[in-house]
Amino acid sequence: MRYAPRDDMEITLHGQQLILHPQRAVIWPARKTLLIADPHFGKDDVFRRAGIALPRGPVIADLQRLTALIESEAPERLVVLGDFVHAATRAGDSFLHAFQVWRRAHAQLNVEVIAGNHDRREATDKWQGLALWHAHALIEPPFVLAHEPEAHAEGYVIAGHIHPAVRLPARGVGRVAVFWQREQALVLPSFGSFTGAALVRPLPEDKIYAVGPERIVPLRF
Amino acid sequence: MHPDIDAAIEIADAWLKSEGRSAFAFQHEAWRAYLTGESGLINAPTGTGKTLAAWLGPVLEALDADPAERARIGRAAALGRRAPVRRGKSASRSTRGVGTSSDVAANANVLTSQLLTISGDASAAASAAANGDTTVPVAPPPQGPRVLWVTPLRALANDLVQSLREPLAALGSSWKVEGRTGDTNSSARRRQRERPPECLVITPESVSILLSYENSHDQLRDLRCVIVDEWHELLGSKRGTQLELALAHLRRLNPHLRIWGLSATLPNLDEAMHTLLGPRRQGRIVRAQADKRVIVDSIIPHDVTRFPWAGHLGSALVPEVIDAIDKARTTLLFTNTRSQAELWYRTLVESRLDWLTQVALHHGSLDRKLRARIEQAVKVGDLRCVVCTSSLDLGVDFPLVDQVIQVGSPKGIGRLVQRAGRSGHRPGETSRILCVPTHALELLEIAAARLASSEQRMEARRPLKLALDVLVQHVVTLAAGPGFDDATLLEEVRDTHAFADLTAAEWSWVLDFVTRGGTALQGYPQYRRVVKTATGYRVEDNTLARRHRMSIGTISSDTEMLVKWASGGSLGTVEESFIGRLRPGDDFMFAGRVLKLLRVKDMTAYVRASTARRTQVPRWQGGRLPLSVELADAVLEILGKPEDWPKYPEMLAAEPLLRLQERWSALPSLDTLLVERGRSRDGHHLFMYPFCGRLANEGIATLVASRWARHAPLTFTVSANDYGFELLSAQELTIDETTLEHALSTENLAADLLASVNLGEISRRRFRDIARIAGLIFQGFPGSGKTTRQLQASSGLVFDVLEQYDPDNLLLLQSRLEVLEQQLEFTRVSDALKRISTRRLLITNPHKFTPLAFPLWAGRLQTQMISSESWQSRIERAARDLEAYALRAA
Repeated sequence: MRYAPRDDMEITLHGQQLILHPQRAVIWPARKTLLIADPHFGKDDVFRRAGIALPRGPVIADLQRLTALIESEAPERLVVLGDFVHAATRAGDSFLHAFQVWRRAHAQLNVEVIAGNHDRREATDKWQGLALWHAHALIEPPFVLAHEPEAHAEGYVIAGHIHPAVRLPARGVGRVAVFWQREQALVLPSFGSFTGAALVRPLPEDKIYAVGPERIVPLRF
Repeated sequence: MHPDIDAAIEIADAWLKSEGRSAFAFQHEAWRAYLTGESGLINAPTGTGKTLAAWLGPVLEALDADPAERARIGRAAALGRRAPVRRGKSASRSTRGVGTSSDVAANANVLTSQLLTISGDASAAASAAANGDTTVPVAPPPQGPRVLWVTPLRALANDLVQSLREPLAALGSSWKVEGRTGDTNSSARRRQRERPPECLVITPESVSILLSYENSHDQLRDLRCVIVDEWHELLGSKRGTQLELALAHLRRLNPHLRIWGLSATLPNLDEAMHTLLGPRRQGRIVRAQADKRVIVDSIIPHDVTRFPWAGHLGSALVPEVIDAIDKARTTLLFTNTRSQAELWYRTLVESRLDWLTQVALHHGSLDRKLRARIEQAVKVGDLRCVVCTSSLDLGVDFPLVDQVIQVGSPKGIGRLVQRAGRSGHRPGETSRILCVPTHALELLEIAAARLASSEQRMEARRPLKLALDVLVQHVVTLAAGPGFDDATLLEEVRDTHAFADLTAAEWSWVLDFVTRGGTALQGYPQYRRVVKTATGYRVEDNTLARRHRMSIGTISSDTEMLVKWASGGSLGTVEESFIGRLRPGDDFMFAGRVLKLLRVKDMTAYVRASTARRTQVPRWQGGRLPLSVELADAVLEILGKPEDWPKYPEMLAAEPLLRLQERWSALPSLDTLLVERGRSRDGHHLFMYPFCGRLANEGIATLVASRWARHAPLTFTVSANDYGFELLSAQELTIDETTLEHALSTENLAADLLASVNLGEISRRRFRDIARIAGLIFQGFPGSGKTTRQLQASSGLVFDVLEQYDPDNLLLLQSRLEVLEQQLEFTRVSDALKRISTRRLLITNPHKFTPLAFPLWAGRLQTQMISSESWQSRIERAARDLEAYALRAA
């Protein structure tokens, strides 16, 4: 799968160039790193196990989006800012199988996961050789890569957790997922296509970048 | 004739006579029909004795069938004249609270009280033994209830239990009547399973829940009769479909099951009856002779020129309303929305501080206990006025209510009559309703309502067809219960009006959906809901069965949040979407108070009292019903006949405004379609007045806009009300007879309407109900905490996932059909367009907003956008608008 348009947006934060990508990802070129937050992989498996009839599409589609990002941006490292899985995975989950296949196709990529609240019950030994799990935030000056966007003494935080969105006043648009640049943290929109969003109220000094289907649109409130 | 039947009916007559009443002819007809084994529908307005008409059939039959009972009756009749009075027993009975029979005993003459005491014993066996009558064989105790009395309102169950118990003792019946609703606690349920009462008063949801237990067939084996109260309320809703399916199942269990419905007057009574009984069954319609007279009055504003052309509260008439309340004993003041009820309650209390404890607020979002307290207070006459919504359309009888006020147009004739019937709640009494217009044009609707109600032009209620979400739910219910065989179940399901036309393909899709999740080709890994076993289709996982039972009751509810005091205690529920727009510290009005939101946690909003003056009032969804076809036609009929206006005080009051409309533009009528063109600072306006009700007008507006936008990138803002709609565009359009006729053509209507819907995202919203009923989303419950949080997803997300990965899912199709039929009122739009094609187009170019246009222009609350621009470009435009706004503000 290919997504043709990639009208991304470059911002500079603490002297570092960052690219906000409409596929709900951030590229940090200096570290050759691709950042995503809150994919909630396997959420559809959890639903099906509970007797709720959902097709298996979202997992595959999200992995395909990831593939496309990796092919076009050629990062050396992927960092998932928490909530990698929706709930502890179980043998037989379609996501486990799909991820193993996907991982073999990107064997050269380093994959790191910062555990989020949804990852708490996941047995990390299951991921040996597939992804490097971190129980805490990663300090990578000038940034701190974390799950929850709380201020951190060691640097400016890049995080997820909130799934930020705003409601645009225009009719026919409704809510739209955003990158939310606050004083002490940049909050990414959730990567997973089967995840919800939470309306946030930005402060006047915040910067908001709406994720359109094709382009990033900066908004000023 | 049937001597047994005559004898049974005589027992009823004797009892009524002892109370100083006599049976109506329709009651005799209903009892006789029941006793001869018939099913049917009883059509009688509220307060005419329809409960007895339906209830005594099964009661008398049981007396007749049970030799023990008959022996006692025989003796009671014989002893009735001279037997010793055992008052002690009578007293002990009444302290046990068996309904109002104690009142009956107190009021009746000695003769009656003798009859009562002797025959009114609680237990037939005990009575027989006490009288030394040991020769009567005692029948084995039945396994389950003989009668299910189905009521749409669980709040009514307690009152019904009381009024059904009332005649039992006097008739010599030992039957027990108990309620079984969502409110019944588990120990009562267990007791009911072990020692079932003869009659269960139950909601449609609880009937389904009965069927979801493994031993349901044992429990329901002795069922003789199902009586469905207020069937007109269920008809046309998914709860009605749910009940149809349950009844089909019960009919197969008991082939001689008799089904009786009670219904208000509908023009399609025959259809209503066949939907209830099953399409292939004969039935009898029993009609009460006396249709109650309804008198429609209105408060006419003194100075119509200063009366608002458009508005919401109707506050201009507050002094007159207070005056009317002051003069009556007990008033029910109906509003059309919960928000209006909140505002009127505040207004009344603030205007008359001395009424603070005598005025109450009642609507569907308030805490159930609070509502029950208020209902009780109205019943005993402790309140002067209750401000209420449709939450009191039905329900408990209020004998002391002597005035009904309707704020705003009732929007439908059936609704007006129903509400009027809340006063004068006795056979033979006249019902009166006092209408309060909230703006000038509502004067017309009140006049039209009087005309239409005097001629009994009621609205039909059409039963739903092929609601697959309900079928999915029912299939899982039976699988969780006794299990089923697919061929037998298909036959049973097709024995309903709703699914008579179910195709084999649709049926196998439903089975696939519950067993595999999707079609056979598409494996849904890990999915297990219903499993095909050697003994039929079953739900094997107890957790799934339990969760399914919990979700059965949610067929009509929305995602609601509990509103609680931070200090403890619940106030009621409010829609999540409203709370979602507030943030901690914001004030809002709810339950008649001004509240401050403190925090939101686990589906609960914690609040404390606030002293703020200016606040937001929640706008609950679905509060506003569109103007009915019948009432809209009556409005047009009156508008077209100015010579008749002097007959209506409302029309005389509205006349100056109507003459203005005529002078600036023209008056609409049954044979013209009025179109107004104009421009203003906002852009180019097109106003059209088909008088089809808000939803159908919106449907027509959407259709016209999307047909015009198809060939060029255009953006319209659409707003609609009950009379017409406005299309506003930045670009000038050629609007003449040709372009209008093209836009209003019935050709490709369904496809064009649906195409316009896809732009509007309505079906995605509509999907919410379907997803919940079919078990695609599990909302959890207010206060249920985190246990189900991992399973929460918005219906919109589920819709997107299905649309992308399982586009053939029939539930998606259903959501489109529901949008078409219910949201856009396809049938009504299509009928309207057919009629429009015979009406003369009358295009005018007024220089100002006319009286008909003004409310559309001023009340652009319900606007939506129809656009052929892409979503991306709309976001960008919104961003530019925001910039511009920020620049202006700076």
